[in-house]
Amino acid sequence: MKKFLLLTIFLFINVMILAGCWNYKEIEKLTIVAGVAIDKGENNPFRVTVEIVQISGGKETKATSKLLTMEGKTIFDAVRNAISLTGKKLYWSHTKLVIISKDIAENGILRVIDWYNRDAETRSDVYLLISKEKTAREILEGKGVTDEIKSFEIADTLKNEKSLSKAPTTELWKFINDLESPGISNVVPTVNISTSENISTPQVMGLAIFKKATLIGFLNGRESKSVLFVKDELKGGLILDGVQVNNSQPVSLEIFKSKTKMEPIVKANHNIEFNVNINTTVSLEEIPTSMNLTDEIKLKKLTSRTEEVIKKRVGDCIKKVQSKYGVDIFGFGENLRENNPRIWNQIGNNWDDKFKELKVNVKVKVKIKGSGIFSQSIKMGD
Amino acid sequence: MRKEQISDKEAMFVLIIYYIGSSFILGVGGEAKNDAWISVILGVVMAVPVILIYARLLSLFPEKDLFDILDWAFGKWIGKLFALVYIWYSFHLGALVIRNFGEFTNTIAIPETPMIVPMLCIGIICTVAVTSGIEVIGRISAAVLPILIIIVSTVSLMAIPKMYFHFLKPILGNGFLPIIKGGFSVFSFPFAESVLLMGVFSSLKTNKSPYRVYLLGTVIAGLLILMITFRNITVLGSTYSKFYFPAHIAVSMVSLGDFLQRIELAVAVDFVFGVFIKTSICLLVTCKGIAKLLRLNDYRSIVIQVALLMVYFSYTLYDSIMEMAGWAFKVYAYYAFPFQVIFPIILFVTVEIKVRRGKKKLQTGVGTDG
Amino acid sequence: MIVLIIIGYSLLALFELIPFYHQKHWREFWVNAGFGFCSFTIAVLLSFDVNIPSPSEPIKNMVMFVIRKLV
Repeated sequence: MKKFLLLTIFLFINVMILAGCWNYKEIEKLTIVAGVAIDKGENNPFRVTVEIVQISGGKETKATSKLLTMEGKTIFDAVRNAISLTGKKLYWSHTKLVIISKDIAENGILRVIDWYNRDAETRSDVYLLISKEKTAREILEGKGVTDEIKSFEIADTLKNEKSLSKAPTTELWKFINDLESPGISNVVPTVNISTSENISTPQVMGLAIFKKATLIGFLNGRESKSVLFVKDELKGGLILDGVQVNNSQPVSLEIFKSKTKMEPIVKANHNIEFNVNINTTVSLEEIPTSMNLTDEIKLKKLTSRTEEVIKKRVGDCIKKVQSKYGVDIFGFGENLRENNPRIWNQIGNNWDDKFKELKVNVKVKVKIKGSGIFSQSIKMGD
Repeated sequence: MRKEQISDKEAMFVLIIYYIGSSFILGVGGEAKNDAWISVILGVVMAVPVILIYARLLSLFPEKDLFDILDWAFGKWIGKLFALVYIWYSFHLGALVIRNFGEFTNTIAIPETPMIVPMLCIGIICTVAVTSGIEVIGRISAAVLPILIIIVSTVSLMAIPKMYFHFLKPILGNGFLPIIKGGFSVFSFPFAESVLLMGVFSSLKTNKSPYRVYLLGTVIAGLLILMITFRNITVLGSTYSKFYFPAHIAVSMVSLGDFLQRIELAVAVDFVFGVFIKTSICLLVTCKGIAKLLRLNDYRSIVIQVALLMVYFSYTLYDSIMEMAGWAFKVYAYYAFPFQVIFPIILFVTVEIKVRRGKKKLQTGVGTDG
Repeated sequence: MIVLIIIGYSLLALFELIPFYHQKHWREFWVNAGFGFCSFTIAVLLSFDVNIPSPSEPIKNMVMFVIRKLV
């Protein structure tokens, strides 16, 4: 009897405590955010545009996207103002990217990304992008090609960037990590609108250079590839223009594997030089002229010319960054700090000044490993 | 009353879960930044002598717990004073662990639920476990620890693609001082906290087993914590020490393909089990101590009230998570030092002198009060 | 809230204290009643949002004081 009574009371208490969650969220009550664009507002410091996914049920479930714009004194203020528009709280777990406009980035983006990195509902492994257009909102206004939802399409672009290599990929947490560690400056991919036949599509190309958290300049797609070469983040992509056989059209070489080793050489008086050794394996993929591929001398010539081209481009890119921007986006300082902390502690304080005069020796080794499925180039009959 | 007994294996598992419970999720040795893994090794090495003292004390007095030993060594009044000190420490530690759990759920999972609710829930479970006794806690540990280890290792293996091994460099970049500081904090949290298990391991079978249990348990837990710290550093880099719950963030980065992602709740499962065992041990020791102090027949009669007090106490401990983190990293190591090192050494010296003076006393002197 | 607390504690008293009373375990009875009274008071205070002083601050000050003395 007593046991029975105890059990009843226990169940009764359980019903009260465990009957439901304190606050529950139904899937149809959520406004799922796919991407965020942050601009300067007209009346307020920030204008936040979110792309929200609307799922319509029925026979064929379809996901459509919609834009929602709100302003606020801070980012979080703007985000919460969304409730006044939709009546629902935004749901951040599926967000793929954050696009920041040029204006905001030029004034420092720390105040923009702090909320996103700090809040528990958002995730810090989103992609960070800088809009090259006037506003960041325009990017999301464009039309997707394969995916109705632009943010997801841009995220796919970034994911497949490894076989194009014309832009880096920067996740938010990595940005903050590099911001905190001395000896490396951040690069963030840029996105612009490409218009053809009156349809504007977002296009990811090139990168933006940051000094601390402030935007100071851009590099184009080809230079981005050089940056990726140095940072050893290159996984694929093509090398073409400039590599010429018989002074005609360029040959396309696809990068299969690339490995870059950076090594600091410490000389007397703390003078530092860097050796950058690039080892690349490529494959001939497109040959517009006739050429005997089994001819060893010609292949050697092609190889050495490719090496020259990469060396020149990478060298030029490093020089350009050194002279024009003066920030170490390649991570030479970080490399020195990790491998030679004693020297770094002595000279690391004004690394950016040191970086401007840093001597970098680029050495490139190219190995051509194949030529597609053809052993010969196409020969025209006479 | 039947004498409760646990096997060496179970005792070791209890000890391991006790170690890894909250340190898995809170992260250890944050002072040393990316050298925290060296701090872990240093912490284990520093802990070994102290742990040998605990084991020696236990093996001198088979079937007697911390409070019996205190009583025997210092006599009635000073012994009671020391007992009071350890009751306070275990009570406070239990409250701290409950608070960690409350802050974790409140920050990560359910920010709008009042914190007292998850804390009360864990309090109720612990009450049940403690009322069932150390045997049951031992058997739960034996059942749960393999699962925990499997979860943790799988998650860590899956994190390998996200690891950047250059985050480990520069090794010793900031010199030795931060590492020693980190090692000290690893020593006090979690390793030397095992002083409280002296209140429980009176249930061990032989007087050789304390050494085995303590040493093996510490080494295994040390390896596990080393693995976790290593993973957190290589995934998160130097920001590792800035998160309240680095393990959670590190695991949230894991994604295999497009389908296996957002697995951070697996870590939360570990944490809940760990907190459960650790709080249970603290509660058990507190209740045993109070029962000995007030000469009650059985500690079970006060478990519920003490558990409730513990939960309320932990609720009032801090105002915010910032305060908790500040306290845990700045104050705790020094605050716990007397309980973990100074008092045990005093006890150890007294006991050794008394034992050397006359072996006879050991048989007659102990056990009149138990 | 207060109602829930009173119900909870009376249930506790019913299942914990009464058996001790019947078995004439006076020591257990009084210790349990004492602890129960303490926790009940704190629970009521908490439900009224009374700020109960936390020992963290004094401990912190004490530890800092001792460290400064030693160093």
